[in-house]
Amino acid sequence: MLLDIICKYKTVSIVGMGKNCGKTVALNHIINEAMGKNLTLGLISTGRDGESKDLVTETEKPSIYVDEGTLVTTTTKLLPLSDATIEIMEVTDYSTSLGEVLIGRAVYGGHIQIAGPQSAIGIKDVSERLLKRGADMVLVDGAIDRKSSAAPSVSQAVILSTGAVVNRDMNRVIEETVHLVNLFNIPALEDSKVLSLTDDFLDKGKIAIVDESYRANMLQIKSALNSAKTIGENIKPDSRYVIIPGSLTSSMVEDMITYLNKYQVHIVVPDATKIFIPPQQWQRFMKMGMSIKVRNPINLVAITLNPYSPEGYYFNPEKFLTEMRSYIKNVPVVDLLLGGE
Amino acid sequence: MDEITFRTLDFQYILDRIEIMTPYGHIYKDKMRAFIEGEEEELKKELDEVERFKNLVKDEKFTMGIRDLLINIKDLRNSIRRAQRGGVLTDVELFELKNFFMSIRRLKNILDEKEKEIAIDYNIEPLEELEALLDPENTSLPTFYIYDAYSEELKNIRQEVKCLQSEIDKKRDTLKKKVEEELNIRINTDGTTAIPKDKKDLVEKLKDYPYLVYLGENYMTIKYALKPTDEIDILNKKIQILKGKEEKEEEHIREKLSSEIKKQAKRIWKNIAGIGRLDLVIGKADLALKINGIKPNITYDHVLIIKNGRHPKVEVLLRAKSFQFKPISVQLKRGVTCITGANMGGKTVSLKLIGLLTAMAQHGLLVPAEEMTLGLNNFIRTSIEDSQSIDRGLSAFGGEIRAVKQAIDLSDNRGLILIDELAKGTNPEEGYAISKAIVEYLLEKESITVVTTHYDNVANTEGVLHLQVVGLSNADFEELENKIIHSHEDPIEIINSYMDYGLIQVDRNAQVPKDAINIARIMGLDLNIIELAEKNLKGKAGYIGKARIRSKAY
Repeated sequence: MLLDIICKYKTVSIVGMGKNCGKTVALNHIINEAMGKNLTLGLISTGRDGESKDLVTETEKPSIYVDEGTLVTTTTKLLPLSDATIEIMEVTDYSTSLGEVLIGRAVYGGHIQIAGPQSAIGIKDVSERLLKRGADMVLVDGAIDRKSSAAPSVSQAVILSTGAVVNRDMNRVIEETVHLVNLFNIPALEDSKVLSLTDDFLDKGKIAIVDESYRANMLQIKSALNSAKTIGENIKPDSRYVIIPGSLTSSMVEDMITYLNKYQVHIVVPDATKIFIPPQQWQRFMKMGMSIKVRNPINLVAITLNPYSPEGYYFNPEKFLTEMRSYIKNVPVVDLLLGGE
Repeated sequence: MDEITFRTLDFQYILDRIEIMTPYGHIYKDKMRAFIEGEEEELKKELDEVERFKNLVKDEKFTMGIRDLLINIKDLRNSIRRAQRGGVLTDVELFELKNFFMSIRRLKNILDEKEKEIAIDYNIEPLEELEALLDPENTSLPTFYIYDAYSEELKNIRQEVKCLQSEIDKKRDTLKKKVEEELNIRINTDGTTAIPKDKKDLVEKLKDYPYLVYLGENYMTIKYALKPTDEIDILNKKIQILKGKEEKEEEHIREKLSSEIKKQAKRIWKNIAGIGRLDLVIGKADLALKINGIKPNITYDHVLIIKNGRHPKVEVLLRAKSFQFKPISVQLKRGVTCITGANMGGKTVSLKLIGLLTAMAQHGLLVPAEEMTLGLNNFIRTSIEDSQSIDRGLSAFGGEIRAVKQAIDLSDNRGLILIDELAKGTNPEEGYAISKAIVEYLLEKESITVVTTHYDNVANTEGVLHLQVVGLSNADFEELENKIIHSHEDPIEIINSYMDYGLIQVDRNAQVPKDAINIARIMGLDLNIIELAEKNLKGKAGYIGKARIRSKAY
């Protein structure tokens, strides 16, 4: 079911809106589907995954069973814990607390703990190595916390897992999910004259204002968090873009918005995961006419639901699915436990 | 070389420019030390090898080939030590060792091609048996796992597990289909299903349905999972037992492989040492290429002759500003040599160059010069203004005297002593007296001493070799002054570009050149002051400096 949606992509990230959103269920689902189709998968994780117990909430977590031929990313210390027979192909220079990240191939199937580098560049690099070594598709198991947040932007497609664990109130879960989908749908920066300029400042981690003749004014501010007023005061009638490499919060937008709207200036952020603005404020800013562009768009291709929370409460699965679908029309929403269409 | 000398000569800069690729090369680089008197033949051998490699690394194919291999070599010392102590190596360690053995074989091939050009034996000897041991299926792939080929038993266990697993899959599949048909429901790939509570008949029926097991429920649905049949349970248990056996067998194989590694450990260490030495010699050769270095001639006599030497760091700095370093030549022997010359004339640079090139040569490095002949020193000591000693709160003079004292204590031994602007921080009368005394004292010693000084009557001590920095004496002052007036550049930079660091030997009684007033003038010091200074100078007897002659021309 999910495989049909993602089969045209080479790299697919699965991100969860929190722990126990059913991310691993989705991953296993795709792995199972791929087994039946003779597809060689490459697996990589931004956190540690495939553990039988989740370290944070101690809930039972499905382990990852890989079939013969699957390419996996793990670490030197996790490898001996696997009961699959893994042919070591490459020990990379990426280091984690669990040893160096390594790439291998399952010679005999079994359970394994998937791992990977922490940085987005590392994830991208290892994804490419997996493809080069023969994977038809690479699945990136990623969290959506700040550390690994860039993983979605380095994959061609993203599956979002959401569920009851996000909030006890189903409406709030739907609201937050819809909000995230909205953020993922923020248009990409397309003005070709400003692209390389943007990359430059994003790389350097410097805030800059670009004017209509594409001259950039790099601001000597370390972090934008407390300096949004300064950014605002530097916006001039001919300013067009404000490039912000770090996080974008409500209070920052609050401090800048009058300046931004006065001259119709666009905010540019690296990708949607850098935006930390709650749904209500987001709506308000959008109504005020805020314009945001992302350098690296996220291609959301599916949403999976988990109506059960490990804390013991749950939503009516069918109602949850129907309601979610009524709000999100352009992306397929599925409940893998319910199964079905 | 003591710590201060090491720092003032900036020898770290040279060490930093020796690029090392392997962890083993670093061990050898860290162990680098100067060759001293009595080790002439060893140093010559080393320098010959560096020179040969300097030509080899020009060959890009050779360099690329070696680089690709060395850059991927990891530090396996801990693994080998562990195997030697009887430890069992992990799959990752065996994988790294296999790659290492493959690299050794390729390295050997590359070195063999250049057999004629390389004189030293680096003991790179392929470990074919071990390589074969870690590649039992002859795939020649740089990958590793505990291969089926290691033991018939392991192979059988794995095959059996595979059969059992597919049997389970089949049985589960059949069961799944059967349940799906019987109950007209859908079961997920993971074997679970959720039944709505409103299907009361079904829920009732499932209470004692043999193939589904209750997992949990909420107010709308009940979750069930396929219940493994006794048959499947038995198969699963069989697999568990086999997995345990497999793990034991794998460990047994790791033990065997590790003990084979242990047997050959000596040969592995030899290769490691060879790679370390090879890496360092390539680093040295590469540095020689970068600085355009030549092989110094090593003699038994205690001499220090440099023909057109360049200071490697100053040269790079000047080149960045598109200036050229004007080379320095000296011929020094036991006794004292005085360097005199204009302010900003690069006396200190000359001194540092002499020290640095000597240190480089004695460390087996090629030197940036046209020619260099050197008798080995047993020590190098410097007293060159060291910003860090000032930070430590020592007065400049105190620091100087301490450094000079240490050098003098060693001066009966064959060494090189470099003293910059002796006693310049103290009053001229006493400063002169101390300088002269030190020069006279060192004249009779075993060391080669080079002293830079401003004092007129130090360089004329009998027996002292007197060298002068050319400085600005050949420069066109009018042109220089015009350039400073009309350019936006820093006057100091412009003066530097006109500065000739070259040294010329002069009669020991030659006057110390006096460019200070000229430099002060072109840098824009008040003309009234300049005139007063010249007047003061005229009052002094015996002054026939070039500055006065030139200032007349203005």
